[in-house]
Amino acid sequence: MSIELPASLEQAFRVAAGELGMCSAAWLFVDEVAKAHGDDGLHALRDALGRTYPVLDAVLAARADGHHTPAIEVARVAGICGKAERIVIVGVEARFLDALVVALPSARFALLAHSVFSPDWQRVADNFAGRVELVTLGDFQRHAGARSVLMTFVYGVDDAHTYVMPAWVRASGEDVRTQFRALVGWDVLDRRSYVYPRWLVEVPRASFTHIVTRSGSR
Amino acid sequence: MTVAQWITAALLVVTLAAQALVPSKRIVIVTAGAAVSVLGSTLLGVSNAARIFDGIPWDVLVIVVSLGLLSEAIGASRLFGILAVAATRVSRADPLRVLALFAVGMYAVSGLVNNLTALLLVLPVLLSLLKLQGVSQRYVSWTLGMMLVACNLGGAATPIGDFPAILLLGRGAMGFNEYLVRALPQTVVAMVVFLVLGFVLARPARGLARRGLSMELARRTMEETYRGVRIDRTKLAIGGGALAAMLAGWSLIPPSWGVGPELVAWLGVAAALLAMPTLGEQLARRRVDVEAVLFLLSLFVLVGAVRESGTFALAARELSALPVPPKAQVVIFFVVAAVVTALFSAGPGMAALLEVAAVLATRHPPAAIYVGLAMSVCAGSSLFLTAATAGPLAQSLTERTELREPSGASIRFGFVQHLPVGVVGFAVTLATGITFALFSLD
Repeated sequence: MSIELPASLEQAFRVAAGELGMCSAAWLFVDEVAKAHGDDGLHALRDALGRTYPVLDAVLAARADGHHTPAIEVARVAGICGKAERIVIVGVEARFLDALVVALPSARFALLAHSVFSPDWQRVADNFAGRVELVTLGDFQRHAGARSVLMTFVYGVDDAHTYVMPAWVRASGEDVRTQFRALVGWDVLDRRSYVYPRWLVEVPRASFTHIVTRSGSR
Repeated sequence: MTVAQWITAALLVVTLAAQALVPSKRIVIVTAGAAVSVLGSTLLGVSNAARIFDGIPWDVLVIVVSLGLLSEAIGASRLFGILAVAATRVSRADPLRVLALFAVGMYAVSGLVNNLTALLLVLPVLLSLLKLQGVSQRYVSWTLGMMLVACNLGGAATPIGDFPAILLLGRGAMGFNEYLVRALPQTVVAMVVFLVLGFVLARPARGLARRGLSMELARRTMEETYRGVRIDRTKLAIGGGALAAMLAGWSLIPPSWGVGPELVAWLGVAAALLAMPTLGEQLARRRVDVEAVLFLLSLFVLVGAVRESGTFALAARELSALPVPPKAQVVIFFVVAAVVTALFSAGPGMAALLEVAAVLATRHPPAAIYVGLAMSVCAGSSLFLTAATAGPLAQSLTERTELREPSGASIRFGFVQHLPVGVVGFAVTLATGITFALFSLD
């Protein structure tokens, strides 16, 4: 049966992706469309928005493979960041960040307020009860140091590459890399996207000191 | 009219017209106009700077600054965002329920705090919701327009809601309770009639696909974006406590004590800022509404120069000499006040017309004249998008949001889109004010 989804869905997804992150927004939309229209609705969603939003496409693929929730490997990430006093996060993934902040109660978090979307950054930070401070590209290096970690969310990993939001490329230049104890990528998709990685930038996997995936970390 | 009267009145009108035509430069225009006006009065021998400054209602400026800072303090508690999400949840993101709840909510909030602050905190949440819902041009025009009219009505409902009422309170033209008892019922009636007319005649959601999936996604996304946001109870308790104490002071302190409304506001805000010293210092240093203070101060100077020349007294005499019954004179005054406000905005309208109202108040019940004037100014503020400061703010926030219809067409909210809503709001508010005033004159 052919399902006709609301034409405004793309605009709505962009709002959600800006505030919650591509992957967290994708799971929310997948849940709601499945509740309303079942598998036919999910097929329609993939047809309508999959090519434009590769992260949504990958989440729909995961759902088709039987996964009903995102794999949040917070214990592995916490293990790597455990001794860090400060963690600078580049990019937003609400569900993953929520878990990390809870898992590391003594760490101080800073969130780089830079995105291709235009979220209300103060509202994003207000969700963490004062545990997350907003920083800009101009001042985030004051959080650098031997006990600091620079971390971002990555969207699929292969042997040589991974995909990140453009803000990571701007924040992790050669001048910055040596100022942090570790550069960590947290794979929130655990699979490669089938479609062109729009919105994302391909970077060498080796540019991270650690990449955390569902199957382990390196 | 004498030459001096012509020149000072012309300076006032030209300055007001220029600031209305070029709103982006309005502070520079009125400040320069005020300086030229003082120079003109001095050279013409009508008055001088010292006398004009003596006539400035500084107490009104104290109240405006105090209430602005208190609104910022309450806003820092995140109350408005939480309320907006609660409204989304209660309405289940249904477009018509959203419109009704946000309009009524803005009416209620605007009576207690600075409506610009309230709008600045609530509108981004509403615009995100509209983007999530996927709405039409018609719906956005009516939703934002009705919120602006609701803001104006809420501001006129209490003596502390907006500048015109604050001016009446600050100048001692009316007491706190006296104004509240008369204005609140009028604005409630106007609000109800306006909402009914808007919903029944304009049907804002006409042509809008009210689909369950869109509404559910909008609600869920809004809840997720506020999943961990909590009200800062300390800031809310301090800000709300100060506001409650100020309301009690305005209502209960007898005039014989000599503690005026400006002192109550000053003490209340000082106590609130001292109770949260870090935020208080930040607010006091950075968040005083200098734009509003400069604008109002310049207006008072312009109006003061005209008053010193005797033009307002002359206008009041001319109005009294019109060959119509006294009640018709009052109605004409209210209509003129509304139109002047629509053209020149509420601050100038009220500041200038209060001088004429004071003369009318010697022949009619003062409360009926003053509250009728406040309703007329409220009506004028609603007619054009440019008549109140909240209008351009709503316009710029909407443009920044880049709303689109499901078809992909851009959604705009400007002068033209607001006009139909403004005409309904103007007519309802003015008619309500005139009706109540005529009953009071009997």
